[in-house]
Amino acid sequence: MFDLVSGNYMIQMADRGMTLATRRMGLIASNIANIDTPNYRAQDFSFEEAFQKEMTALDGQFSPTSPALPSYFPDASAASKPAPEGTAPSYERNDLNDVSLDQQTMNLAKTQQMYQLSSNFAQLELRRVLGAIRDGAK
Amino acid sequence: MTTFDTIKNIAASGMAAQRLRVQLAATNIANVETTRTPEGGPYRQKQAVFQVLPMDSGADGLPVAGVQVAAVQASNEPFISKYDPSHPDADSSGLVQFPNVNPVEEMVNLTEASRSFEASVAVVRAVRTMELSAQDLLRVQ
Repeated sequence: MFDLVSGNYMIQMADRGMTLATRRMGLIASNIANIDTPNYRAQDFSFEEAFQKEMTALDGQFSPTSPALPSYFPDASAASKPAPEGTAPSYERNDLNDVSLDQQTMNLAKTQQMYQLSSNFAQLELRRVLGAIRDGAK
Repeated sequence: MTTFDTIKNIAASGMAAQRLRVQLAATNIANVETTRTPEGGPYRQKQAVFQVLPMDSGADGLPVAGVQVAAVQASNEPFISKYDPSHPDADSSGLVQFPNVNPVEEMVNLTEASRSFEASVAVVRAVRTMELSAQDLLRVQ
């Protein structure tokens, strides 16, 4: 049976987005806490790649329509180019620590935005589901 | 599973470490002229050594980690000797051993620690905003 909430593609997508943002936030918090720890290396993962992977898994689960051909999107090949793994050291310090405060602050803001975007999507979809239930009850 | 709680604990560990660093900088600056200590001899400059504190990330397998203070080390740099025969701690040739504290270094340390502290505060602020937007999901009317 089709479940309006847990079987809802939009809500599932928002859920994955929020989970990934929280995970990335954990790594950013680790990097910022360890900004002065000798020998510490910055940890990160590419949000876009991880999200795409999750989406592929989701598509296989419950895609009502077949996905559009990749050639339909002119820039699809450029967009799916793998991002460089890890963070490039922006400067070298004497303590072998490669955390850059500017980069981490930027990632912090980006991740927070991504989380809020996902949660707004989820809220929108929940409102739509609620609207559908209300209309049905009339 | 990385939870908001884990992230807050990481930020708190960072804030605690930086606070200790500020505390040590304050101690060093306050004791810049101290020639007598319980251990004997002039005051030695103190410095915090940080190390990674692995946090439980559960099923994620992500290397989330806080920070902890491994040790507070007293510097072994040579003391600064000044000629001041009227000082009660002057030796027979009139030289007084003053602490090996460099005030400029301490000021830089202080600024760096407060910047890093602010970065951890920014993490807490961001997590709080995220939590509020998650709570907003309950307000579907």
